[in-house]
Amino acid sequence: MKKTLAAGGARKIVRDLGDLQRKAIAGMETFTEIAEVDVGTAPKDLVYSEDKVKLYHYRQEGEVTCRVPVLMVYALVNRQYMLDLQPDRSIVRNLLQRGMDLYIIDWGYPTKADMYLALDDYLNGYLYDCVEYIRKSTGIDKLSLMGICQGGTFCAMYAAMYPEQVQNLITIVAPFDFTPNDGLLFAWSKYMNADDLVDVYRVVPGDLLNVAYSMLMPFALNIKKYGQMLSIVDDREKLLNFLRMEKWIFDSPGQAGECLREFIRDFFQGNKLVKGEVKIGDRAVDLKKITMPLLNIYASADHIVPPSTTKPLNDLVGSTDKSLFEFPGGHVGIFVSSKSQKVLAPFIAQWLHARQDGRPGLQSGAVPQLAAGHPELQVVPKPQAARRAVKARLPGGKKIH
Amino acid sequence: MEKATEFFDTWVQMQEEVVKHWLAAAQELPQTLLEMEVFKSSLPDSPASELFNANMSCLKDLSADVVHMQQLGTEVMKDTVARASGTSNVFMKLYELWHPLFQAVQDRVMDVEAYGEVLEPQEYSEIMDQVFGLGPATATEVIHQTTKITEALCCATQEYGRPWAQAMQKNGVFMPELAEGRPDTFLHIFHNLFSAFDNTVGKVFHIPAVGKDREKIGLILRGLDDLVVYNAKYTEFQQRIYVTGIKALEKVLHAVAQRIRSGHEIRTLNELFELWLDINEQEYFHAFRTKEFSMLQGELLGFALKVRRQFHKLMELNLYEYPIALRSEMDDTYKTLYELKKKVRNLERKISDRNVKEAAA
Repeated sequence: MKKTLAAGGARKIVRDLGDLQRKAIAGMETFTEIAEVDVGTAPKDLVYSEDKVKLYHYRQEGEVTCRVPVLMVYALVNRQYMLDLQPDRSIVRNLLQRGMDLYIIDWGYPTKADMYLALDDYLNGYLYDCVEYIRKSTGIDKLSLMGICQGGTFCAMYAAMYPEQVQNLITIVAPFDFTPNDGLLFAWSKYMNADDLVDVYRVVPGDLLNVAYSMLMPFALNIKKYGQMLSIVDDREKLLNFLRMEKWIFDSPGQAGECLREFIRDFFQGNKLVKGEVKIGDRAVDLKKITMPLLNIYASADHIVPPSTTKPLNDLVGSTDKSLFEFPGGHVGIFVSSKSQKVLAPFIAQWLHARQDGRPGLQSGAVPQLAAGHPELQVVPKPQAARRAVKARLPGGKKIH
Repeated sequence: MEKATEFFDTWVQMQEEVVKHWLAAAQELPQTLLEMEVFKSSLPDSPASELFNANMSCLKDLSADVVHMQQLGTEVMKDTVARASGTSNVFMKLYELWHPLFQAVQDRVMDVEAYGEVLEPQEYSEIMDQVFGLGPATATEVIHQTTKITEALCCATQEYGRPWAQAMQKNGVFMPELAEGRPDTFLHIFHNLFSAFDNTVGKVFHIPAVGKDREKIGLILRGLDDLVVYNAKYTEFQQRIYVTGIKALEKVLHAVAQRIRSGHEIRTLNELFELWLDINEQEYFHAFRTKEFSMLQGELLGFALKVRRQFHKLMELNLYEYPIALRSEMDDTYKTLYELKKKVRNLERKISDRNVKEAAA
């Protein structure tokens, strides 16, 4: 006789519920044993600070093999330690192991005193000063910028305004074209009154933004994940992994009002970046002025920054050496998944190594070298050779253009 | 005509003359009409004849009334008008009291300045002097003012009634929804009635110039209304969420039934849980992605922010007397700090650039 949920499966359900209870009790023990949820543990030194912004330099315990320093720029929402969430899931550690000289910006937690901070202050102020610090302290004129999410948008704008300071540009899951509505944030933002929001809050609380983020996938983010937690709650290490991610998700700094107002109005609503109408302070942002090598990476299942908002950058820049890399995963998985550790960081390190001497970038002849260390990468010749771009394919049909 | 009695005599005579002339003219009119072809040729019971007869009958009654009035004597009329004039100061007081209100209702704006303009104390003082002097100009002015009061009353009544009528019209639209028992309908109805109240009787709250307390009352009332509006929108938002949930549940049941029919029955609680999650996620994603939902969410946020804004204003008023830095004051301080920091940064850069140039030179 078949045991179904509808008939005859009652005993099974009771047993499932019993198991669940036992796990929950065991989980309580595990929870009480965890004193601290540690994140961002790769050793680093504070080398520069201005107001609430801090610039850290990661300690390179091995040999620096890529002489061009890399400045990592994260979004203003959430914290930069996503790139170093835990030792075995850390893009930072991965890049350090591959000989990179890494710096990272911590934007800090804005308070009401920072309500007037605008994009001009973040880009022409803090980011400029951090870049200047690295240039002066290393004696190297140009550095590589690696921007993540909104930080990628910032880096692209910075590279357009100060091309003489940027050797290479890497953007990861960063939005550029804000017209597509396949991402809910993009659809919702178009009907949001940024002026009211900022006038009332001054510094828009991170918790408010978290409510919006949790609505992007309400059942997966608010129910499913906690259901899944019950299945690992008796395993200390797995539970710690879960809690690190939870800590990151809910560690959301408030947003400086003026900057957020500009970002909603000029980007989400006005889509001025692709139109070439953005002006930061007294500097116009013309993406055509991005002529350095560009690596633009997006996640195929990104529900926060959909690929349609990321991909157009490659058509807007003036670079001849430009690559588009599709990672099979989501907005967060691209940094913390096990596949990411095997594929993304090694690929970025190789891409940067290939461009450390300032030569005009990835030539078709360089592709086999690049793929040689990564059996998962399959090189696919680019049909339009004139654009000097390449395509590589990841397992599962994912590709690099 | 310096004395009041002379004025009234003349005035009554003039009235009599006017009535006599009018009656004479009215009597000439039928004669003129009778000479017209249309009346000559008409039959006794034709419409034209009926009109003519009705007019004559009316004139006859009017003439009788005038004759009767004349028989009352000028003294009675004088007495009546004198009484009216004698009580004019009371009347003027009433006028003074109510006119600003009526004017405010008409204009829908009332503040201290407007109040002063409406009153025109100098003009009223002159009027009062003339009223006590009982000169002809005074009497004319009394009549003039009475006419103005009557006009103001009519306008005020219209203006007073209009918002309520509009509210009732608007609420009429909600009646079918009310019958369905939709909870947000009550909130809409309340809001419409409050708007009518605010545009009519509510104006009274704005009239007394009692400083901050008046503003507080205004803000509290406005804040309450904003809260009601927000709640109405929130109910709409919740309704959208519930409806989506019900649709998802129907789909879950359908999917379960489908599996049973196809022989792939659900055997564990987890399996059912996963199915429920997936269907709900899809359903809500599609609902959230619509333009309607985005607009609704934007509106909801807008109303929520409005409530917060009113609350902040109220807090500022309440804390004004205390030695606490207010929000607006801190905003100014932050602004100053921000601008100073920016200046310092620019100056530092200039110095740095100059040092580099000097070192290079």
